[in-house]
Amino acid sequence: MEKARMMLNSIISEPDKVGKTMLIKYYISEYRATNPIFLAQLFKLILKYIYENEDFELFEVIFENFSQELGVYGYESQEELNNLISYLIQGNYLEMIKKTLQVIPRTGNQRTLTLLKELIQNLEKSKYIDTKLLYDLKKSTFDLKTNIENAKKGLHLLNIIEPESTVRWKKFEDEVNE
Amino acid sequence: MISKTDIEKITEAYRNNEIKKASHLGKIFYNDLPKSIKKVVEVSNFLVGNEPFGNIDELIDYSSHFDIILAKRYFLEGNFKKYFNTILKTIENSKDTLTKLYGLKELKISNQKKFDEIYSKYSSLEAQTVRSEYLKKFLSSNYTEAIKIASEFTSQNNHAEIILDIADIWYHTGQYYELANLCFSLQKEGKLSNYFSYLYAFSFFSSGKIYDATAILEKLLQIYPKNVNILYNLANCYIQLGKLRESEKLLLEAEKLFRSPSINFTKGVLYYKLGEYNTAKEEFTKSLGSNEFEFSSKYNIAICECNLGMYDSAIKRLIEIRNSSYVDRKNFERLDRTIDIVRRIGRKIPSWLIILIILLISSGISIGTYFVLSFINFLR
Repeated sequence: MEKARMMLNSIISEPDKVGKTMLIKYYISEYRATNPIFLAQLFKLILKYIYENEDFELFEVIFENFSQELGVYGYESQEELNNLISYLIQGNYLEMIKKTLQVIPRTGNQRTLTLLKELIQNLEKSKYIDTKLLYDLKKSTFDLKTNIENAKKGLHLLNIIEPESTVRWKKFEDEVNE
Repeated sequence: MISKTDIEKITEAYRNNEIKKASHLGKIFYNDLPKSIKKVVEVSNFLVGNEPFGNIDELIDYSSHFDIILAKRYFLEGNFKKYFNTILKTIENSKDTLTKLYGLKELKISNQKKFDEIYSKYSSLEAQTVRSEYLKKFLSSNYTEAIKIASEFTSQNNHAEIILDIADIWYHTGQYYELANLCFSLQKEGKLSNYFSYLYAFSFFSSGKIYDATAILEKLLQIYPKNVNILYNLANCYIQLGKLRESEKLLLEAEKLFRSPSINFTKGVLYYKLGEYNTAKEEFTKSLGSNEFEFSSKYNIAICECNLGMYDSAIKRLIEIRNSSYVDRKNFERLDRTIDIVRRIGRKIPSWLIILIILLISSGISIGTYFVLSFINFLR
């Protein structure tokens, strides 16, 4: 965890979104194949840091630029993700909740499901009018529920691994050597 | 006959960011234009998304940053060799600092390795203009400053070339949100060229908006059927959307154009999802050459073998990777649990056999009891 903490400190020392993005990109390329546990720990610490320090800039960096990677390496971050969602719900940060929806089906757990269901109920009761957000919330909840059920059956254990490469934009020009 | 004023009109239109006008005027006089002005017209065509009026190959003479912009057409066509060749030759040939920096910028966004190989030769180039300054900052990886200077510069001069520079910097630094917003505003103004559409698809794909990325990539594929990036990334979109046969067609095309373990790996994923485990296994085996897929390919081969009923081989393989190349705790635990499940499946006795065994045992017991009782009766 010490290594991930050092990485987080370097990230938050970067003065802006671009610097933070480039540093995280560097860490991912560095540890993707050799030690992805660092990345899992890093994402966990980042999510915790966001809600503890209300760092909305870091939130944007992660959920705008690394939502796919968070889906891949977020398996240790379930509780942090739930705390972050709770924090966003309490603060009524609906736009930010929208940005987390993509990550939820892959990273969330039973508690996330409960949080989302409550949020949907409250929004429907209050006659909230953004139907797109409501649709996205329901879809994300449905996908998460399916994933949790499949995990209970152990189905995922007998399935192939699709690493980050299938969700990352491929630039074949990078592989041209001549 | 073309006059000097007509030529000036084209260059002036281009300079004043009236790119469509420059392209339009160029079309009228194209055949009579000198080579240097033809180049301006073709750059305008590229920026507004028109097809070229003439043969680009004949215009490129590796002398200015226009050659680099024109080389982006080779990139979109998927001709990476020609693209890199143009960039490298222009960097070497040109006497102009801006052109060299511009070429290096293009090299950096497309192939970091090639860039690292040659950058030290040019790192002492002095920036003489604002544009050179932000390009230089970009080359030395000071992205924050590069974006800051470029953004300030666009507030005074929002020329299409400068917008292209900023888009390229965002593309390289992975600022999908900003890039998508920029492309969206260009689209609203009717200025979304094919290159910007490509960047738009990239930003949608990378932020998980697969439907939007698919729509753009499908259009681009019609125009650039030999671009392996478009083929492959669209194939991945189709996999995510469950359009597996459509994806297969694209991956087979991509494979003809470019050999890469990534294509084999994705084909493995695809065939697995199609239930063609033998073919999937073959593809995963082909992707083993790459470090990136070493762990996942080995694991996936074992899962394919499990689906093919080759339990012993699957278990052997899983144990081997658990003991040698597991990379983190999650994978270790996963491997242990998978081995356990495969063992259980492998040992599973068919239900008819269980019923037969039960029948045999129960009839054995009945017969035995009968004989015992008969024996007892006999004694009496």
